[in-house]
Amino acid sequence: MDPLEPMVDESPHNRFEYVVALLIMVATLLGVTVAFLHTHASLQEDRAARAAEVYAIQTMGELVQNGYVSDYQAGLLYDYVSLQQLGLARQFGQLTAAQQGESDLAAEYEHEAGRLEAMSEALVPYSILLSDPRYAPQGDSIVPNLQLWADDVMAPAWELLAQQNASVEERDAWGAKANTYVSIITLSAVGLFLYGLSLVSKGRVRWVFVAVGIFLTGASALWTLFTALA
Amino acid sequence: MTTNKGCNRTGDLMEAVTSVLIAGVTVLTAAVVWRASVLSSDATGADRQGVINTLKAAAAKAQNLAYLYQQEADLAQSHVLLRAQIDYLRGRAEEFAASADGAAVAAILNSEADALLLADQGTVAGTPLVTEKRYRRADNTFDFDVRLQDIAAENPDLAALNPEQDFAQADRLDDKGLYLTLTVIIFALALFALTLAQITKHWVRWLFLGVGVIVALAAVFATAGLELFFR
Repeated sequence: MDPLEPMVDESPHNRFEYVVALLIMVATLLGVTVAFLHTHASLQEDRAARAAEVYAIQTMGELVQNGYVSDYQAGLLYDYVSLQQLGLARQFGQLTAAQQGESDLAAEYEHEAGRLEAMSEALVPYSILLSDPRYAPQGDSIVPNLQLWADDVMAPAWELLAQQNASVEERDAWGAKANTYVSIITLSAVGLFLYGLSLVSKGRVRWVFVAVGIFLTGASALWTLFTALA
Repeated sequence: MTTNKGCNRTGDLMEAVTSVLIAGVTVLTAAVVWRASVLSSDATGADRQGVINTLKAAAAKAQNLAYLYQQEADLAQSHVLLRAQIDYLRGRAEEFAASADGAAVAAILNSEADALLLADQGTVAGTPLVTEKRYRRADNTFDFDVRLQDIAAENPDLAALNPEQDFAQADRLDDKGLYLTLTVIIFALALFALTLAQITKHWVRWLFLGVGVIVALAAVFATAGLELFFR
């Protein structure tokens, strides 16, 4: 073999075709790589979207649960307050009856007041608003700390909501990336088309096609790099 | 002349072999892309199933909560109020019984307490939250969480719903598809080397052919490994 013999056929026509063939392969490699990156970005987008859906469902479930728990606790508090008020009314009736010398009626009122008091006190251990020191009425106040209780009850739901919002943002970011890769693949495809066109063209115009193709492939490669690093 | 003819024959044969290899690798690449697409589709199905099961589980929990808080909790509260009255009446009856002329009143109070006890037994009958000791905490209040778990367990189909398992399956399929897509890049590299083998001459083409074959084999082994061992 002559060591000076070129590695490729150097007739002008064939040399051009070889260069274009190499460029096509480079563009194809770029396209395949971008396709992989697009698949990866789409996958991440799908996972974030799924997480957002699940968080939304869990948030809804948490709110439903909060609704039932709140109804129950509010009902206990309402019953407690009602029984206390009725008991006080009976005590007032007892005093009035005693003042007017109606001792039997006073005894009856006293009995009822005691019964209502026992009923209301029986509810206390079951009411978190009355039994938990964090929420129970403090000092002379008769009103539980409803705001703190509502904040605590809703905290898990708000946490889930925050996670859902974060997942939505993540989904959008990956979605934007995936869309960018689609644009890059399209650009690469135009470059490939120009390379192909150059093979069937003659004269200087084919070099123009190749030059524009190289520009598009280069731009696609740079765009891919910046998008992947973003 | 003879040597030139021999060289040409070898070159033609090599071109033919390279062409066949290029065609084979292209077909394999298309097959891998198809397989990745199938996996992606399966993963989407598993994903959807996971979301559906999450919804089913949430709906089931909402129903269980409605039953617990609107049925059993109400009955439990009635039980608590009736018990408080019974205890109060019994206490008062004891006070009256201790006094000289209070026996009659004590008997009346006890009879009312007995009536309330009957009412209570009728109320709580069939209400596990009240009747079963396992739903009582140390302070004698009701343990709604344990009761909720047991209500959920009463429906094995709904209790068996495991969205996380569906999501894990979807992730596995997605990952496998992604790795298969990665092998497409290796196939493309092999095609690149084989194309270079096709257009170059002399020893360099052998080098490219060797590299192309090695890379293609690596891609085939990677694909086979993924199919066989990535479950």
